[in-house]
Amino acid sequence: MSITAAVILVFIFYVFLTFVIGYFGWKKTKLTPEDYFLAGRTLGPFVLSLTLIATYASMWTFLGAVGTNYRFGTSFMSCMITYNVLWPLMIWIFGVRLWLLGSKFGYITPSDMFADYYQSEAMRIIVAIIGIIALIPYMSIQLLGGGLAFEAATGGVIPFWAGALIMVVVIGLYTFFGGLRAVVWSDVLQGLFFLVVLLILSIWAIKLTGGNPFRIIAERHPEIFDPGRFKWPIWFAFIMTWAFSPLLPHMMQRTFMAKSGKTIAQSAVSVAILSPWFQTVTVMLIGISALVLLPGLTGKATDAIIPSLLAKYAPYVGAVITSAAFAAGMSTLDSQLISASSLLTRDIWVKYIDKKADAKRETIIGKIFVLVVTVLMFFFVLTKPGFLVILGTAGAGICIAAYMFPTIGVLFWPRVGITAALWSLIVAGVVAFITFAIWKFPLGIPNTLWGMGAGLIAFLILTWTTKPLPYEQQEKFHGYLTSVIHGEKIE
Amino acid sequence: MSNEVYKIPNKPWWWPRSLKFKLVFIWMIVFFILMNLVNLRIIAKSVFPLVLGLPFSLFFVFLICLISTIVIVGIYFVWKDFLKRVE
Repeated sequence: MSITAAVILVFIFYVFLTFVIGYFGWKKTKLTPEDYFLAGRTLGPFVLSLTLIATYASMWTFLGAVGTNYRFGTSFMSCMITYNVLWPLMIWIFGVRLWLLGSKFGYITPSDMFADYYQSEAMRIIVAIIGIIALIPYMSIQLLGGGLAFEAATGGVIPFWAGALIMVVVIGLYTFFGGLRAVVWSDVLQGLFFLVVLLILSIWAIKLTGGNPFRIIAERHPEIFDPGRFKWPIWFAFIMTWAFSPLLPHMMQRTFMAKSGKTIAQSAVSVAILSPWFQTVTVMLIGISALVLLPGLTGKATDAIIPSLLAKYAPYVGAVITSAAFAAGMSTLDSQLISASSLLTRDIWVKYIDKKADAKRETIIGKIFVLVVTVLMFFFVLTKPGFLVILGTAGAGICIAAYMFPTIGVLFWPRVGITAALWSLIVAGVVAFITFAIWKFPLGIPNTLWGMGAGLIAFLILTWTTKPLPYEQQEKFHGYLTSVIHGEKIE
Repeated sequence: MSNEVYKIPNKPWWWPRSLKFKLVFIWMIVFFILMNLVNLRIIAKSVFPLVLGLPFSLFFVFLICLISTIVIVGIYFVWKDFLKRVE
């Protein structure tokens, strides 16, 4: 059997499994927005932990992260492990409070929460637009990577367009029918699959080096372990972006899906162990072992370390690994797809165009948006636009910088009023966009930091100089959070 | 629920109230500062000696990340009364 046939067979088996999951998701899902977009807020700790980690880790973990470890060694490793230690902490800090408000007031999208707290429809629209701007290019990157990986893994037998088409059809179908249940259940399969594959690959790669790869590289290329090779502004911006990833719309919505606050806490614990010690360390071990096994790679060739290692040492295993990379990409893409659909349906279509839609109609519209976004994304990706990667990378930073300060107002700081929240949202988003798309990284500082810095200034000045929200509104939220979190008596 | 009245306490929102959470807060700040100092080549910049088979800079990064992981996991056991309220 040829390697191409092996890749196709393993992928067909994998797709079959996701369709089975999609079928059960479809049978269990009711036609209500809460059930379709949030799985009826019933997720337990096992499913929530794995959907969090599967959604967080993308195809880049398999391709880009290994190569960056290869090129930058300890320096990138310290960056990756820092943000992977910190984002579970953010689940504690933000996630628990988001769940409390989401379950009490019935929020489905982040815009629901911001609009309700700040009593502002402008807030709803801008939050939704920024969320969509962040999600769509990010999704397209997963698809772009999937199409290219398929083409490479099958030696061009399945061309880029067909690989991308297969990926959108599979994801589009199980998301359309099964809703969020199908997405999170397939995330469990995909998350377990790629974590196990990463673990096995890292052990195998170390064995292939025939000793301790750290000792070998420390003697041959000690500069790899120089902790300052990854320049500080970039290092810091990576951490500030990915440590705050629970503020991205699809990640925020995951906190609304939990069965209880205790589930969020248990998931924070699981992710605190899995993300730095399984996802990060395994990627680093593969990168460092590759320095011994495949020396001298530079530039884009380092992104193909895993396929190159397998092509050299275990060609048939490559079929399984290709599917694991797809699993990482698909588990990110499906979550973003349903999140983008919920923003379009709930915050724009039903709110402003079809105001009389009942729960059933809203869910059907949500399903239609899943298909619409899927098709648009496919045709967009076919053009292989160069700016897509730029916009996609910038998208997450723009969204996190923009969402950060209004979220602090909702969850922590009662003094924050609508003017401070709205303008910090706009200023951070616009500055983060301009410093990437128009004036790239002024002074060598990445756009996320420019956005956060400008947003922070606007936020602080306007918080102290403009009116806070009415006291009753502050009490409704902050009084409630305090009463539950600190156990203070409700009067 | 509509008749419930909640009072916002007059305490700084960013400063933890219990001693255990103050320690968690302080450690995470220390952790973040240490990681920055490593990247800026101010501390733990040498490759040798190897500790447990790892270059010293990498060993140091692993060590403080391990402590931070224990602290983050530890929050679960410190915040028991809250977990009972949201069970």
